[in-house]
Amino acid sequence: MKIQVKLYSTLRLNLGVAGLEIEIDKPVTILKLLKLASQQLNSDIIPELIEDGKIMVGTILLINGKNILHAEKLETMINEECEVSVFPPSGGG
Amino acid sequence: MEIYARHMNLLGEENFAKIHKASVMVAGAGGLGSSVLNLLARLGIGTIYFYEFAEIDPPDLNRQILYNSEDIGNTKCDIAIAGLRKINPNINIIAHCEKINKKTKIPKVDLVFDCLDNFTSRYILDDLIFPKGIPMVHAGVSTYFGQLTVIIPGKTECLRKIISVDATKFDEKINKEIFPPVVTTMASLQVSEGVKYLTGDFSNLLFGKILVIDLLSNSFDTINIK
Repeated sequence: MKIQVKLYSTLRLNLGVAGLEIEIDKPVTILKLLKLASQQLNSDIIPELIEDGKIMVGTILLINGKNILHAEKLETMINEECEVSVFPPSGGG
Repeated sequence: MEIYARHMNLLGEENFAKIHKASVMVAGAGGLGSSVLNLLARLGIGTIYFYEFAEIDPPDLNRQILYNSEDIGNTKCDIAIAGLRKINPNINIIAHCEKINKKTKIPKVDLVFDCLDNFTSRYILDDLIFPKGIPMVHAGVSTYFGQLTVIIPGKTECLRKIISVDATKFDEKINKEIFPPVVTTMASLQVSEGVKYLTGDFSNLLFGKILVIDLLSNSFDTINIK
């Protein structure tokens, strides 16, 4: 299964990459997918996204446009080809 | 009507009549809000309500285009309404010099522009208008980045569900540094989407997706949302 991971705004800036494709051969949790992404990028993205085992305040993780906070959070399973968007919203006005 | 000569025919008479009859609310008259208000007045939106409680501080002047250095220390509300009436004296502009709270009475409007600067207030606004079926053009900005989406009750989820954050913790961390062109770009996009909504151009309207812009790398990405 091919998973497209897309990064936006400050994450793209900090990590220097707009996205990547990860190939998995069995279902994984979103947490595991992020670890695989770190390996592939040769850069640990987990500290940018997760704090004390929870999604960092100010980070939104979407699987095919669905927020994982409204699913099983970091334990949400990825079991089909999909697009994962990692998006830190801007709060100012 | 001569002040509308450069866009009335472009929009079409029927569409112009729709925006000229429309009633909208702008929440916040800071960075996004002052540009949004400026454009709405120039477009000839019939009735504009806006809510703002703050005073003008020097750091506001890098992007809050309704205010000048001589206005420092005055309330944004007073300066904004005077400036907007100079821009277009032929429309109704109603200022509410107050902070939006859970008890705020929302006027009868066709559309709300979220120009607030924190998610705590945004969620309060969301809670006030979504159950009433009032749509909202949301935008947020920070440094070189911004996002925008249109919330339409019955067609999309509310803002709280689309952009879910722990508002209290998130607001403590908001980076107040801002590249001024991001603000005016996002405000322009808000008004553009607002006009599409008011004229019924749903095929081009940004709902069911979030536009994320990055002026540093010139990227405009759209994320589909459910």
